[in-house]
Amino acid sequence: MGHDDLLAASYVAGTLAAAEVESFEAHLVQCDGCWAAVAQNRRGRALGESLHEPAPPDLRDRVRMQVEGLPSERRFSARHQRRGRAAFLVLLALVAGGVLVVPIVRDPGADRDPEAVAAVVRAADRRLAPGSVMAGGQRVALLQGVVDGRLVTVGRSDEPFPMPADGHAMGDEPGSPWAAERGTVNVVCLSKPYNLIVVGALPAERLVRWAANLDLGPVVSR
Amino acid sequence: MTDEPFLEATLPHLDAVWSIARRMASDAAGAEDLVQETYARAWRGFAGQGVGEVRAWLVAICLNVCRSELRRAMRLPRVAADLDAAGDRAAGCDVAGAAIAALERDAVVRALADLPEHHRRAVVLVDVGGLTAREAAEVERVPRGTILARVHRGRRQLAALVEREGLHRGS
Repeated sequence: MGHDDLLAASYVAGTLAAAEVESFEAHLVQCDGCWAAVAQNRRGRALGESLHEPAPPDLRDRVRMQVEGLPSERRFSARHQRRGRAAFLVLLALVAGGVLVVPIVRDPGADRDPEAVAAVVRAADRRLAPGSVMAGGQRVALLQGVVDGRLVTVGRSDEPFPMPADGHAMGDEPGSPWAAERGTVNVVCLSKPYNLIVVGALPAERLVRWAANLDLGPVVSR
Repeated sequence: MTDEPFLEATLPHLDAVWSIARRMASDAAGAEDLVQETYARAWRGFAGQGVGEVRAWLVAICLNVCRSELRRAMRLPRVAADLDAAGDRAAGCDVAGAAIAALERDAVVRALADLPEHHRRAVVLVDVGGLTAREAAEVERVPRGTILARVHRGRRQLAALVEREGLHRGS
């Protein structure tokens, strides 16, 4: 970069000392090259700044949920109490709408779940869907459904979900669904035709039967 | 470690990380993956991080994730588009009244992509992400003067490319 360019860059960046600014501005009015360089720099800056954009509103929630799901100490603070109140209001609204929502009572086993499984259980706990989360290096798309009047949360991934230590296979065949209990809800996992985790306050067999009939469209390449 | 200090220190910088991720990933869904992986890695390394340097630190992680994890993820098949809320959201943002603005924005995005790598990264960090020259220098591990030079050249090239495209479209 030439001497004038460095001055122009520093001038636009606002990092020149007052005396340097005065000197450079005196030079600017006499030098077409530096004048053009400063003007073009400013136009480019405005173009670049036009691409700054706020994050999608729910990304903040999903980042928060993901971080809170990573192995850590738990702190039951005022924040959790506020959440409890908010969850109660959501519950009230859903019940008023005719959908029975059963809140998940914290289960000690949930803290040992593989991250991708835990992410879906947390999403169910918070009614956070649709959208997607990254958990354990695995991208999980979330959606909700209503089965027998109860809200059910589904997580779908291109990669198989690991089975928690306390999970149990629901059949003898390889690739059979597995199930685990988490407080007041059941968690089931299917690998055909999609890799799914289904969480709901229904018998595991009912969740599997419902999920097996889901038509979620084909897997497409990125 | 509890997660609240981490979230309080890092979530205010989500827009900056998102803006940069958006320009580094090929689409909105990829940018969301990038941001989430950035925060997951950042959480693991948060202990001892000074609050004053959090933004530059997060962005450096984001660029590292972009170089490594995203390449891996790009090779994997992806869940069906009907569940891809991020893509839907991005599409839904473009209302008819903003069509011209969107066209201009596309032109800027294309021009930015055409910049030499170092210049593009400097413009993305400073102008798109809003980092200071000092923070960008820290991320890129180069002297601050080098960042200033790259930003200067990148901006001028960006302006020239957009002007040229406008002239071509208008001719």
